[in-house]
Amino acid sequence: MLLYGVPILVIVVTLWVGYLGFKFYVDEVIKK
Amino acid sequence: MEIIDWVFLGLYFALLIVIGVQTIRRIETPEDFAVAGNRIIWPVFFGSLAASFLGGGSSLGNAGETFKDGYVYMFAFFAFAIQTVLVGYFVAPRLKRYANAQTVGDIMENHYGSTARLLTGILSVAVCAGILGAQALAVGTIFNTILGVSTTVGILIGMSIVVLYSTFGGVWAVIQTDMLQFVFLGVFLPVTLIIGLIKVGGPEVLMTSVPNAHLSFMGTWTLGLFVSVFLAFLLGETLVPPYTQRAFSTPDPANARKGYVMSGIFAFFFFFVSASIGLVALALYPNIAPDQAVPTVVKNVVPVGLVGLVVAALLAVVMSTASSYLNSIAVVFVKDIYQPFINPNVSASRKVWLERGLSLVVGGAAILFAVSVPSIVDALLYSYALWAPTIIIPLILAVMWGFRSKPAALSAIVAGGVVAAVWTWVLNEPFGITGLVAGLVVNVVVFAVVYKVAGGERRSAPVAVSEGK
Repeated sequence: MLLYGVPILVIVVTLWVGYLGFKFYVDEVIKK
Repeated sequence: MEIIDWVFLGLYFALLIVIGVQTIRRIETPEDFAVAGNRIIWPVFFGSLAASFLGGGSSLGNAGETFKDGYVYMFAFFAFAIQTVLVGYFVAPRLKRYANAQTVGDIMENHYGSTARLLTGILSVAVCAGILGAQALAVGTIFNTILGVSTTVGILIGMSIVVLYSTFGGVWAVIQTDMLQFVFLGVFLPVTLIIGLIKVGGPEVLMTSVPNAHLSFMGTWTLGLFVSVFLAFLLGETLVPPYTQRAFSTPDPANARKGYVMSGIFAFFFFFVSASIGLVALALYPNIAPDQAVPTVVKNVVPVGLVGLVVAALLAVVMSTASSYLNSIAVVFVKDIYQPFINPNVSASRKVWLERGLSLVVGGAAILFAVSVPSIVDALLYSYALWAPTIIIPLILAVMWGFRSKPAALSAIVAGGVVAAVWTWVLNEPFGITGLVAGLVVNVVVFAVVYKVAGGERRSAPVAVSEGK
């Protein structure tokens, strides 16, 4: 459970933070 | 590696360079170069900080040590995550009360005077240079062990890209590339674990394939060994320059706290992933050297098409750490040494170019030393052991409780550093007590005694750090 659950959790959190980071990048770097 | 893997790896490098180029125009002032104009919101701070502190030690090192000793190493490594959560909750928000601060030296001068800034600056540069050099060597090792590329060529390729984007885009480039690197390491290392588990035959088979001691809390370690390693991880990297600098990059205390704490929580799970890859390696390839755990799993288990991305993830782990420390060296040298002690009237635009020039020169030197004189990198890494016994206590006392006493701080820094150095390298750590602990104890005692004798004051609300100092 832990051995599959933890890596999946890490991937999900990473993708979510990556998405928020990408939005920030577009707003702060690309559009400015 | 197949062509498709090389294509993915090439795309990763290209993306880093594109981000570096795109962020150049965000650098107009020294504040942009050092703290991204204080515009880094918590998710970006979280990803960037995690990418910075998740280096070779927490991935390749953690997997290798778990391969050798079991989960006990991971439990000791959890000390770093605990420290990150605690610093994030209690200290990070308070750092934002120092208006315009960019370095640890800014805080130290505010509370303990200009000599404390100089000492902090020198130590910061030495610590960062050692860690930068170590990451450069790690880049070469990854290229060599997984791709079969010579270490020298690997260091030249990987570190040239780091130097390129760090020089031109400053901390804006470092943070934005950190985010890309965070996604790579946070996705493809867990993917490697899942593929490895399937190859082993599932978690149940893995549990029965490794010695029971590898799964227990203490393994075969003694309590003394566990405590000393735990303390080293708890204190060794606390508030080192890049982490502090990153906290300064946030717009307010709430963003600083949220991002810092969440990166600490994330670290627990990441350490579990990298440690478990070590166990997968042990189950599948019990006769390899421990430090080959991750490279062996990647080479033999990960399918074509994914190998390039996993290698990019491993390089992301070390390159993001390298760029953070490279940027800190440039910023700290200019802010804590050059401007206050060599050229107080330096203009803002000249500071930016000086920081860029230093990034280039120091990055070039790191490549040169890593390629030709790795013993210099080893020597610089010794300074890493001096950070905790010198700076952390005066810094935390200042930030948390407003302590202000020049003699107490200066004598504690010098005494802690000298005792840690002598205890470690002259006495060879007698009684099983590490230099970190001995130095830290002396650091605390000397601060307390001198503060009591020489006096000082406590002013919790810090005075804003003046512009450009």
